[in-house]
Amino acid sequence: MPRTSPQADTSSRAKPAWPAAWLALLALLGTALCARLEFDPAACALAFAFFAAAAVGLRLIVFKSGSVPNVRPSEDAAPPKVETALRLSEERLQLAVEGAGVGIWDWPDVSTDQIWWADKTYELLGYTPGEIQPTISHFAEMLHPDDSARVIDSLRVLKPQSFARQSEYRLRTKSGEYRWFLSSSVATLAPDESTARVIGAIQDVHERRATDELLRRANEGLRNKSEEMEQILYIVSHDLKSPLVTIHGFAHLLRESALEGFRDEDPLPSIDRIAKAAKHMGALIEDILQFSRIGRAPEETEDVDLAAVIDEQRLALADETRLANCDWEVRAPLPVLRANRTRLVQVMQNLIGNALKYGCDKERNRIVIGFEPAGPGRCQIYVQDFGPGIHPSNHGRVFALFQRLEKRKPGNGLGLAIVKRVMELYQGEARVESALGQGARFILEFPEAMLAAPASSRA
Amino acid sequence: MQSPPLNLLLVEDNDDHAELIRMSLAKSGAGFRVIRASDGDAALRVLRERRALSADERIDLVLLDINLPGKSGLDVLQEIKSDPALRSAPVIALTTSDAEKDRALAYQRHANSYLVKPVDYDRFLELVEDFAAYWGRWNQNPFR
Repeated sequence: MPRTSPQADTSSRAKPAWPAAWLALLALLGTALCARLEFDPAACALAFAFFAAAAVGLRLIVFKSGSVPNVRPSEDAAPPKVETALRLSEERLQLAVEGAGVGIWDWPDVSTDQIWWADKTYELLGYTPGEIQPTISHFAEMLHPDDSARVIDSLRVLKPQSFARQSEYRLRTKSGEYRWFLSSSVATLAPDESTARVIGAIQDVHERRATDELLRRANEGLRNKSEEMEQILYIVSHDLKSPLVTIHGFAHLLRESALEGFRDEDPLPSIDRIAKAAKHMGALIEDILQFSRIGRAPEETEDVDLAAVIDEQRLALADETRLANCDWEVRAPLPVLRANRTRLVQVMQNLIGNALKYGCDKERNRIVIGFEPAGPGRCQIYVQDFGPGIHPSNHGRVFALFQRLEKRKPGNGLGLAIVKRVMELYQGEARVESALGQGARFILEFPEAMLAAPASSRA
Repeated sequence: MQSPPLNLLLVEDNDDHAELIRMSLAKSGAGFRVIRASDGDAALRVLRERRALSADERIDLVLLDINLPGKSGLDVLQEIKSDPALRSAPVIALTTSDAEKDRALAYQRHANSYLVKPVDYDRFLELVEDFAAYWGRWNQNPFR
């Protein structure tokens, strides 16, 4: 990138008294902005040339505005050739600034409150040029409360001759909306080496910030996925290996006994151990696969009657219900949902199965299943038990992958993780309301848009 | 080896694995007396109860599964090693997890060794035999 342009050289020679700082300052600004805009190097060089050359032009503009002290009015003495060059430069600057969508501001004397805005600066903030009298106090008021202290502080400690300082902050535009701006600024020195003047430019980067935010969220999603993957690997290293140790070990022992003709050993217990371990392993693999498949492909939806799903579960979980000595209380009306049938069955089976397994610790037990509205545009299904309850500090853990609070009961820590994942897929949410000794109420909240028909009175 | 058999506390929730370890130890001929606890609380109870008994009854060695129901094996390990009355007993983690994280955590909590249960039974047997050959002489340590 050229350090100076031919025009700038000419101007400097024509008027050596002009502060070289001006040229450097604006060239710096231009370069910084171009780089920020991620132009290709050629475009950067071109823009650099524009800015450097147009330094003279800006000086004129600033002078005309009459708000800048310490500027010598000297142009009347300039020969006509130089005047033409100046006009050209001014045009170039204006075009370049307009093209880049950059709003220039100037705080000519940091001991005063007065600042100067270019027309574009007013426009960027939603005003017509000259509509308000900009001051530093006004600027401070426009800053988003979260950015205010940081920005004001940094303005005051700007170091001269340093690279253009860049920062991003939100400013309240005329409409009251806060928008993100990228600001680049530089300072000049007073004779006592304190900051005398700050000049800079702002650029609307609101859309880019929004994209950044989307990216950040996508990244977070990926990170969660990779954590999940690690948990799955961990489980493979432990839970899947464990039944294999059993299978291998007892197969070996059986073989030894077989070679001796099963003289003093009944082979059946070993065979049963092997079969049980294999079954456990199969179930775990099936669950891991099911979990990983959720949301991988778009799922077909149909009208599913929740009451019918619960009736089916009553049959499917008949043994568990008998063992738990539990009564089901299904509260009408229940809705017809526009959902994927398999997913709805899966979710309900997990919740009801859990309520029977963990929520039935009394002589006689009861679970309640129902449906209710839940805030604007939302509704929820709940499955409530009256068992030992879950301490609030564990409410997050129960939905986490492979987390098991109660390892004495059979299970593999995937059930509620599956429920959570399915609900997220349907813009819903799974959560639990519970305290120790208070039973647990598991809630599936989802958008009302999923209701296919008004809740039926059948239960 | 003329010394009396060592009392080994096997902390293992999986019945199948407990049985396999017991049989492998018997095959190794190291002559351990195996006492089994199937969870962490039971293990600590046995350790403390036997602490009060004669030297013949005390637990000499703990073989500890890391993945236990309720109180985890790592918690049990920490409790043993922070109790002056218990911490002299070597604790050997014998577990299915070969996750680096578990291994590191076990050593941080002063496990005396960390062994991964091999899936292959021949190797499982070898491992138990090596364990018996090394730790079976623990009671001959003059510094014990």
